[in-house]
Amino acid sequence: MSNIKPSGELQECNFVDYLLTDEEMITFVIHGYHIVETDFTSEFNQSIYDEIEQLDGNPGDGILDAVPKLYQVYQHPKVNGALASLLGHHYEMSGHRHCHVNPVGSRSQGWHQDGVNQRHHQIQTVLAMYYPQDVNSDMGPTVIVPGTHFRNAPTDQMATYTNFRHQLPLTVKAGTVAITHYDIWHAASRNKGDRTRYMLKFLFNRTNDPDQPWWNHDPVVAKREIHRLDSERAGACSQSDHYKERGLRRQMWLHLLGQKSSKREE
Amino acid sequence: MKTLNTQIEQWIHSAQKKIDNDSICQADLDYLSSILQSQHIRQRILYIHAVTPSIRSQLIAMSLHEPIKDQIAEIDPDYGEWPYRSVHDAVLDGWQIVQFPDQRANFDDREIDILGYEFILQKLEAYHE
Repeated sequence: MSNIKPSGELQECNFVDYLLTDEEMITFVIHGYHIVETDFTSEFNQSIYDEIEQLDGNPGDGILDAVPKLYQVYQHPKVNGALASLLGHHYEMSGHRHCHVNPVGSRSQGWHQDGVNQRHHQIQTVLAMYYPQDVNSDMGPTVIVPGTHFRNAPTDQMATYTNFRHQLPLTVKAGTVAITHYDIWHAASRNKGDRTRYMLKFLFNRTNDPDQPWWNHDPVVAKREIHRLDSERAGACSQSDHYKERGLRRQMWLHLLGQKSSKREE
Repeated sequence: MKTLNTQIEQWIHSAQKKIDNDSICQADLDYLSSILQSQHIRQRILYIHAVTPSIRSQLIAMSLHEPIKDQIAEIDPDYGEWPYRSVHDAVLDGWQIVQFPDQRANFDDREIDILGYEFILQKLEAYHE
């Protein structure tokens, strides 16, 4: 399936009021995720849930054709605004996507990063995970470890981890789209509830290196917030790792600003 | 499956009641003997990932594996109070360290990979089967 791009000016009109602020962008750089709560009705979310339930097997990348209402989810202005801020206004939807099914009585997944261990410290791809039902802690939420998007860890070296002190279960309301950096550590937990938990994972890609800030950038605000890249902890880690993490955060921030690392950041 | 200690504690509790009403008998002692004869020593395993290779440093992650068939260590979104604040706390509770982390410095001064330093601890317990 070919990639899907936002439709130019119409798309910008759609999301321009929902671009992220400098505070939100810096939070994403540090923690690696951003939660978007949409205003879809419960009937709309339930109708997607019902359509997925009625599918004859998992269509894999074909889920968008099988449940066309998902177009509306990923065209929601708040979702587009966040994606455009993180990836630039000419971002595209990847042809790869998946409907993740977490049935009642499942076992938790092992911690993992998606893809192979050839990583970078930019925001080139994000995961946008839509939940068509409320997810409480019994329903097998996706769990992430904030700040781990800077780490390059082969999955087999993560096999002895179970619970992290700073893990974050994505217990969310129906209609939520959780946007995470592609490299963040994540896993599905056991569904102890009485209903299948679905999560639609779509990938979105940057198409151009940034040549300017694409979010609702205010240099004054950015200058006030920039210290957080050095001082804010996403979770417990060694001091030497934290020093390196600071450098990687600044590298990501400069890339987002469209600057080379030798230039002074705002 | 119960540990031997748990099983014996339950026997003592039951025996105390029987002593109080004068009903303890040979069968009770035979049962106690059978508990002792059917004990099996098993290894409980605890992975702890700490901030540094020091046993005093704070914990990042923990994974407890009980020696029980089909038991699995799972991510728990409601994981509550952590039983230990450090590896040292676990040692005070009877855990023995069977593997210390490799504390050689990472020579890559830019990239970061896995999280924490891994200690593996064990506690040998007798189980009644």
